[in-house]
Amino acid sequence: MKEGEDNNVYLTLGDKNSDAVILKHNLQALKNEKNAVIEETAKALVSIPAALVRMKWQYRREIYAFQVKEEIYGAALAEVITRNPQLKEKILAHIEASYQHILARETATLRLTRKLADGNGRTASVNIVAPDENLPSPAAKKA
Amino acid sequence: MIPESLIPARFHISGAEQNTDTAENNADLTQGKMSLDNIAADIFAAPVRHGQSRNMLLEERDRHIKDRLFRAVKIEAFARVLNDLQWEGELDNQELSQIISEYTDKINEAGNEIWLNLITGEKPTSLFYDFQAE
Repeated sequence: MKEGEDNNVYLTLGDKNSDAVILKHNLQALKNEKNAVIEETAKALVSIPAALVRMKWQYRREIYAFQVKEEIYGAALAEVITRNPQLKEKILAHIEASYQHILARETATLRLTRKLADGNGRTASVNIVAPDENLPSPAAKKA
Repeated sequence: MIPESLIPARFHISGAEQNTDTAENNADLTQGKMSLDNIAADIFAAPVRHGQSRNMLLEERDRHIKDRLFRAVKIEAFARVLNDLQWEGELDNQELSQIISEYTDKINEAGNEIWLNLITGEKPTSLFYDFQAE
């Protein structure tokens, strides 16, 4: 049932008029999550240092997958630029424009932040094709 | 919450095709009168006002949310550009797939470097690419 609700939210993303609704919805969910965390830590069932160490490891494991994927795509773009210097300015400008666009959409809807907080934040992937001979494993499906 | 910009400013305005997109985005941003920083105040759990005791667990959580979002946004942006380059025919998809496959192997093999850096926090930026350099 929760899945259905989430799907509705994501499906209406293209509709700018509903941004405010989505933002309100996502912000409330994120506030609820925050309050739950605050309440949980206030109970202090474990010692703070032990909890902090555990938390840091858990976060590192999560970030690791994101960082690997980011590094692969970043390095691939750098390699494309090295091979095609004439595309450098275009590519860098396009990266910035894309970043700005995603940031603006995120500010309008909090879609990514919510997805990530819910733990189902699979990020976009590059469409890759199989090479003629040996099949490589699909790139960076972890994050 | 996360950086306003990813690429050094000298690269922002190049290629006429980008101009319309950028203009639209700017309009969006100003109309919204909202920034992620404003929103962050609602999402972050650690108290930011003076006089309140620090809570390291909550601070760690907030820091993680920022870090994770920044990385996710970068992945989304990079994936979009790589896919667009293929669409536009600037890049042969066989060649791109081969590049990605190559770096997937290389970076996974160097996973220990990433782990080590996550523990030490020595280098705050990426380890295997750098768009800041000239």
